[in-house]
Amino acid sequence: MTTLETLRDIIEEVAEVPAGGITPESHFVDDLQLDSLAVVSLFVLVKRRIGVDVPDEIADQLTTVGQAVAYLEQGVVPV
Amino acid sequence: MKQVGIRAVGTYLPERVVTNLELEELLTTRDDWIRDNIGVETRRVAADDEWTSDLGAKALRDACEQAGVRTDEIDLVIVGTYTPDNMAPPVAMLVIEKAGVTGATGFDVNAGACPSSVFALDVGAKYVASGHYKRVAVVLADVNTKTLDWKDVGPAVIFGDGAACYLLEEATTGGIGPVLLRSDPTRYQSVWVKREERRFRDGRPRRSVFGDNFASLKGNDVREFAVGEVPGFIKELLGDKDIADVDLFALHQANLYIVRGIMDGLGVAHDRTVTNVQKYGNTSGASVPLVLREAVETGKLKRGDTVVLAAFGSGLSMGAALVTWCGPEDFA
Repeated sequence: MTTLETLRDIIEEVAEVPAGGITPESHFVDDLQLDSLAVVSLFVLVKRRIGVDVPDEIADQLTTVGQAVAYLEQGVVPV
Repeated sequence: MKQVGIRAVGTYLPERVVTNLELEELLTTRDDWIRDNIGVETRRVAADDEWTSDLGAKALRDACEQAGVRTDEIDLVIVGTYTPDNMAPPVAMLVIEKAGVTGATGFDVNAGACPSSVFALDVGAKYVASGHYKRVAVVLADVNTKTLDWKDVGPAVIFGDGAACYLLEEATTGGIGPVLLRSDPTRYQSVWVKREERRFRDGRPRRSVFGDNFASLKGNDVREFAVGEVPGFIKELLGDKDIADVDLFALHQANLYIVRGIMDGLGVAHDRTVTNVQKYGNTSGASVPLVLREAVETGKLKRGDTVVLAAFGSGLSMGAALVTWCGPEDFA
């Protein structure tokens, strides 16, 4: 499973959004309607499934699915 | 009409303490998020075989011990709850039986959940004021955690279980003054127990202890309502009375930051309230009397003090009462 597929699966679980409708461009708040509690849940599940701990200050900068994938694969916040 | 005083406040909290760190194991959440956004650090959770009637009966017994009266000297038991042991008869029947309130009449008041601490109090006070009943126990008890879907993190991090009991009698001085009650049914779904079928992703049914009934809430709706409307509601209750003359504000413990927001909206320093949401979570109807009991025990509420009780929540409804606190010498 790719990082994008894993993230789609997690978002589907957290926000009950069908994975098929989640693209790299999907914005966590504007498109997927995630509130701050749901974003916390998302990164808790990322840590459990991928083993990557995303600190709060980094999570705050990751506003789209694509940015989160890039950070999880490369360890840097895309500009 | 007779003057009515709160002669005692009894309390009961389940033994099991659940910390945020334990919830981290169970849920997809984090301790720091809960502390920073809700203010809860621990909550009490009723045992599997512990129900609303068990919590309520213990709180009633405690109120009687506080007042030095026997449970069989109570005439009427009113239970404010939204989590009765069974849909019928009223859970008051089981509270009467379990607490040994021999010969008392009883019924329940469902004012939503959290607003009950003022709504049910007002019902009980009116029976004493009219002279129909001499000594009334108003029990606030809920097993909130049994309404939870533990996959729905929002409600799961907020609620705890608990019970309290006001013991009401005719007072010679002081007591319960003006009361305001108000409801807004247009916000019915802001915080409610929703009935629906839920399933895990693999198709298995997902249920609360109450079956297909689940505590559900829109946190921002509740915050907007509480912080936006409760301060003005309290000022309306006070009328011409100077807010500086209020010694204590006993507010519903929805969320630590909502309580502080209401105090800020009133323009009153935070040391004129007491909070227990940090250790008990949101205990719905019990939260205000739990605050009162703690205030009495810590010396923040004394005979002759003026206290505002304010509760708000499911409905959306809100209730507020202005009370002059009584001491033992104020009861015949």
